[in-house]
Amino acid sequence: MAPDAEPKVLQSAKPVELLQSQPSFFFANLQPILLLGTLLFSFKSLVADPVHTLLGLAPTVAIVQAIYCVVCLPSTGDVAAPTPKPGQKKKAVKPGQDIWAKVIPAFLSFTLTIVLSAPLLYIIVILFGAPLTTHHPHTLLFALHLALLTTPHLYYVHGLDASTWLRLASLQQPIDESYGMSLGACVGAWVGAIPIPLDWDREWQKWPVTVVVGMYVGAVVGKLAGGYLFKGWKIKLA
Amino acid sequence: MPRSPTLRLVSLAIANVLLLVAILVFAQGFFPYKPLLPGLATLDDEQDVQQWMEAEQEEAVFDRVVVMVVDALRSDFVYGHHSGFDFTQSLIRDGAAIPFTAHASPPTVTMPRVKALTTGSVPSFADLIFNLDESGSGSTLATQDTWLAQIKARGGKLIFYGDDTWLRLFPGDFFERSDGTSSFFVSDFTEVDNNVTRHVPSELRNSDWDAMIMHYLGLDHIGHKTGPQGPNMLPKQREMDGIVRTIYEAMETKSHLANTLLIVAGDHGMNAGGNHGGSGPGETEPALLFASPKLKQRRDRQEYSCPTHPKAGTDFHYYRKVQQSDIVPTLAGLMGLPVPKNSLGVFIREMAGLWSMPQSTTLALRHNAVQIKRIVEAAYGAQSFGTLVQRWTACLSQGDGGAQIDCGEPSGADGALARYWAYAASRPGESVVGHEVNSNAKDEHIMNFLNAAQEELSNAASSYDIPRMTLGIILGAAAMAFAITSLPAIWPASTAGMFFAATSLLYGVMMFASSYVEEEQHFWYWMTPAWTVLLTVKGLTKDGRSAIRIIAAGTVVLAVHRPAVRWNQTGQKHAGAPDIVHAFFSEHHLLMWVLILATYTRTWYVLVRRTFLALVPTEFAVAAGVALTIPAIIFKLNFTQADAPELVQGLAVLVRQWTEPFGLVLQGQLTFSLIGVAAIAISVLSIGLARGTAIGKADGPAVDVTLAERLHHLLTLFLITQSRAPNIPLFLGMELQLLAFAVLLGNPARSLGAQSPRRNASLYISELATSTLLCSHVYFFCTGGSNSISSIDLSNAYNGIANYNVVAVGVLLFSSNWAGPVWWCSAAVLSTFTRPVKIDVEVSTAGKGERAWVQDEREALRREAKLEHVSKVSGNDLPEHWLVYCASMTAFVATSLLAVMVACTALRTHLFIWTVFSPKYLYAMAWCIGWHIMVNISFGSLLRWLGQIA
Repeated sequence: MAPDAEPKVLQSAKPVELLQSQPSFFFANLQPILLLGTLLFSFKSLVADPVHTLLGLAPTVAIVQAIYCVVCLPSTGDVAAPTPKPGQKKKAVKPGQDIWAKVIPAFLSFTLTIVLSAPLLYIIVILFGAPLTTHHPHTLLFALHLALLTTPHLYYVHGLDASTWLRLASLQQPIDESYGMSLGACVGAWVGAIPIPLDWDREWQKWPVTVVVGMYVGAVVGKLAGGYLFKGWKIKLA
Repeated sequence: MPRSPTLRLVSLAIANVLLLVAILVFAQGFFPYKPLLPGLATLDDEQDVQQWMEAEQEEAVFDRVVVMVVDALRSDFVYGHHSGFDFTQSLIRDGAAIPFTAHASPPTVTMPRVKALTTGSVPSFADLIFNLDESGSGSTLATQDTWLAQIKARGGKLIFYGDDTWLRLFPGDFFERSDGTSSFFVSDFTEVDNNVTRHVPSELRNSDWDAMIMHYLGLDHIGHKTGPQGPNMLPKQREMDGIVRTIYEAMETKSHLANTLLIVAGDHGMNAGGNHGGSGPGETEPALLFASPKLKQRRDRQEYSCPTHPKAGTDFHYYRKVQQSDIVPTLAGLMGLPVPKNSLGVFIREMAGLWSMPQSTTLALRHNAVQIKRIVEAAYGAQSFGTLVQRWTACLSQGDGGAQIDCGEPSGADGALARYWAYAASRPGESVVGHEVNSNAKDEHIMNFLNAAQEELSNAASSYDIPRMTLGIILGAAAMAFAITSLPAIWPASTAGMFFAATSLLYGVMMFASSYVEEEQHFWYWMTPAWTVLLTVKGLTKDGRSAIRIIAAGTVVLAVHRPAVRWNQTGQKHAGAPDIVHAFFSEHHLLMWVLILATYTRTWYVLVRRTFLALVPTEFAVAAGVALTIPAIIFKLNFTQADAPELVQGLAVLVRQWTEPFGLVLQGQLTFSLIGVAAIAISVLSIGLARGTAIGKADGPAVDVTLAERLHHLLTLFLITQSRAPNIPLFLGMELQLLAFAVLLGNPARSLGAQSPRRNASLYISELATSTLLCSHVYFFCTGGSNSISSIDLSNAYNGIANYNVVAVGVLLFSSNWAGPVWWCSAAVLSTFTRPVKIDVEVSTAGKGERAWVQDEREALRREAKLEHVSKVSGNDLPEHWLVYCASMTAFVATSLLAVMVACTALRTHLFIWTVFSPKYLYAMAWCIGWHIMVNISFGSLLRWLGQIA
């Protein structure tokens, strides 16, 4: 990227607004309930058999995330569509304009999530201390879930623009609902590792139950905090 | 709110002095020094006993004793179903031996255990601190009251063979004949024991000794090396069993040994990994066994089955459990000796059947009780205890008519003891109805007193000095306050500052959870990747830096971190789980040596390139590098061959053969003295060259290599020498991480702007402090450290030392266990200096060769030297970077120490206080005094100053 172009991009970064429609609001609020509910009801089997439970949950989570993208979020093209004048009132998005214009970016987002994010996150998770020589399916599925919670909506909204992704990676992007969710999931997964070394000798202390729970709770907390509390904030690293 | 540098320097100094005082004051309260009763006990001064009953002395049942201490002889090794002690087990079945499990109180290391076995006192963690001192020329057991001293006082003679710990505790000509064996190398399974056994047959023929003590080390070595299930364990047990047989058969056949007692005892046990020191399962449960042909004829003989299973619900609790100290009064009673004054032991009643008359038992118990009563009086005050006893005696005598009179419940521990004593002492005056029954009742009362007194006096909880501990906490809090005052500003906090504060707070909170104290490594292994990512992310936001470079640097830090944390498995929960050193290198020792040689090669290269090159001619620099590195490699190779031969196997046989004539001590001394000579020469040369030039000025121009860096590479070689061979490749990883951190921490935006780069690097100092703190701790744990005493690695503590020397052993011990943290402190100093970055160079040398680059640099330096009056405004705030670094570290250390002190005070009655929190406090002391004050503050500041002047 050209270094002189960067400041301009930085200034233009804005928090992503949800689509202004009834289904959009409805599903945006339903999504955390769905995510946490699914986790809550499958917690027992998650403890008993993490691999099969995580494998079974993955499509569900993917569908919830996909609906969230399609129903609630503007796709890359929408954001790129220029708003001619700053003061002008926002154009109402026509619902059901062209379903394929939404499904195709969503499909691409999920392809990228599985092909790009999941392996990358797998490596990062390993570097953070996940078991390397054992628990391969556990860690792989955990990375897949982490990818599903962190990246599809970002791909859907921001596309593959390098400078945007650099801003996302360096916390320069203003906080919004989807970005908050991604950050929350990462922090939650990290925090979720805390109970593992305690000597309580509980079943649920085993890998990767606590980090999965931490990740889901973190994602929801991050989404809510990003959507309401810290919307538009920029993290400042001094 | 910026504070003035002078004020901050003062409060930093106060904070560190307060830290030291707080540590010592708290330690005095937490590990109280128990006053010892001086002098030897004699039978004459036991007036009380004579007042009690007919002045008669119980007959001595034995006139000789053979004490066979087998190091780390866990109870199941003797009594279990998979034991090699077949003959010993047959003795137990025949009634010729009485078996026990003897509780060894932590710390379960040899020296305190020998103290317990001889004085009968209960050494605490305080003894571990004074361990080094006491085994040196300081106080020894020679002046204390032991059963050995009692035998000697009676005119008896003692002989000793085995672990030379005994010879350090009883120095000079205490023993008539002795042959000490040192346990330098745990790989020695046979020599250490043969050295003892070869004396046994001849000594059994001699009749001039009264006590023979043997201390076998082989079994302990096998445990350390291969664990309790190792292939050599059973043969070693059979060997030990054979020695028991030799001695026992001699006792049966030789007339002068007819009245001899054989005691077989472990000084401590071992855990599942074969280590000991703490109080884990197995560590505190050694076997204890009394054997003599005379035992077959004892009264009230109890039959024991053997081999057998441990008590239900336990792993190592066989037969009755006694205290190790109980050996002392038992031996005294059976041999007719006065009970040593400081013994907290209780006569082992199973042995009482040896006396034909039951009164003898009572008398022995009386002697024991009177002796312990003196300690009770010393602990609670003779006056006040006497008053309590009088009260209870008066009350009990009212009840003589038979009616039980309610005297109320005793208040406090001393009250309870007084009641027991009143019971024990009041009965003798009564009428004798049914001698046998009465005697038993008397014995019961005395035993009650003895057991209560032993429990009360051994119980550590009763002896805390709470006011002192509180004072220590207050001083610690004051130290923390001063440390925070010495920081330039708290708000607005930088990202790194917040992370640093969060680390300190979380660490403090963690100190209250016993499992997190045991598994502390997880905290650092968990924080470090987060910090690395944060640093990387922050790096991406800085202008003028390539994102790829930053991301690559972050990845390098993480990629090194990940295998490093798997290098050595540490902590308690998964102790012994497979790791790189134990599971991988044991199979691939060739790869390990390739990595080790790569590390040495890298060290050689930087020694030549950075340490020597600019000061001496190239040829000489290369030669000096070789002269330093080769002896170090050879020493490490020979040392590893002696310490862990399985890691060397058939490698470099020729080198080892050729260096055979030179002892390891000599090789170690050569390595160290070469490093020392090089350090002095380099310092002198460098300072001499820099004097009078601009280089020597405060915040002078950047130079290619500062003196600090030259010395750092020498320090690296020293620390490598002090590390175990499998850990050496970690140094390569640390070098890589340091390079990566230089990219992450650097702040080129500022240095690029400056026309002539200054010596002091412009960086965010709290980022450096955080990185150093995290890396120091990570490398402490990943080289095998933990918060348990058993993980202290003694193998490199005697490098190059022939005679015991407290200071030298202390320095070597610290530098081998804290090699990583020391290295990172030194590396932090380096990070505060810049090199003359290639800004001019890149512009001017385009198209020119390497030579031109050097020329340019020299030219730049010369120009710099002429500019005497460089404006110092730009770098004015930089020299005090080091002050901020020290202040941050002090703040962390003060916080963590305060947390540990509060945790130890709040949880002083906790089950884990002696197993988890006390060792943690010892480690906190070592971190604070050794790592923080000695290395970070003192050595770091010295290095920093040297880097500034040359």
